[in-house]
Amino acid sequence: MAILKRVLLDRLGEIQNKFSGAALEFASGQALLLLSPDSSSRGNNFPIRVRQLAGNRFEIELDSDEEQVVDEVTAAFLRLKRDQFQRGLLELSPPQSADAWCEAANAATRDADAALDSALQRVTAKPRKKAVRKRGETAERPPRSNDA
Amino acid sequence: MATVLYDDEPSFRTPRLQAIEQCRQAFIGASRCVRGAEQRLRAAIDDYAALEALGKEVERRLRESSFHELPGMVDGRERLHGLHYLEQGPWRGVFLVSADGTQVVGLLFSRQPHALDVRLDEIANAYRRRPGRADDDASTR
Repeated sequence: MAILKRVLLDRLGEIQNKFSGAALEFASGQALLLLSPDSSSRGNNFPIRVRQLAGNRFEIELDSDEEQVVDEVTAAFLRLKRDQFQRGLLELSPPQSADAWCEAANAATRDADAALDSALQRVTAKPRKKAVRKRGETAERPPRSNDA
Repeated sequence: MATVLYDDEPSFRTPRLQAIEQCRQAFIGASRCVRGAEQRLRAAIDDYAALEALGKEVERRLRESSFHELPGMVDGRERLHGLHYLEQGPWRGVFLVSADGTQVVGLLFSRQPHALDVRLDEIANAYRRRPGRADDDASTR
């Protein structure tokens, strides 16, 4: 439990029961504590991310459904791809409509679907087999009654 | 005008097909497990369901011509114009979308973590020189 000074409370806005925080420790040994009121009570569920980029460098980012921040390598890669596209250097598939995409997706997932069906049969069948074996003769009784 | 999609072979189409194949292998692997088969299978099913959901979302957006409504991407403070992303579970597709939204190019498909600086080996494997590539011919001229 901690008691906040008035100046800090004013900065945090209305008093909350819940807080989220992050402790930042710089390479020099200095430390900072970031404190934020619980954002969900304000109808704002975007998480705050704190990333250490270097010993003395941190980045604070508010996640949202909007734009996504990409790392430098990904950004360079995407710019290169866009440039290659403009120069006609990309290895592209033929144009696909929604129907063509759907058909190709079905063909691509056929083997995986079959493997999933097989795996589900095996995994869900295993415990049942064991249970039947443990019960011994009692498991064989229902078929006999059916035959009769 | 209906929207059409082009896949970039090395960085979108191939990784997506590899992801489907990895799910297939995971299903086979999970069914061979003696212990923890159900947990492994459940994790693989979640991944596969997200992969299929991403495919369905691409199909829907192709029908509705709504790729340009997807969220964009930012490098620092600079917006990467024309680039939009679609995320489902651990999977992400990055698309280059024309201004009118009718032409879409699948540029990058990846699994978390999406940062390429931790997946350099994948890029290197995708772009190793293959005989008969157009850029090989260009370099010999």
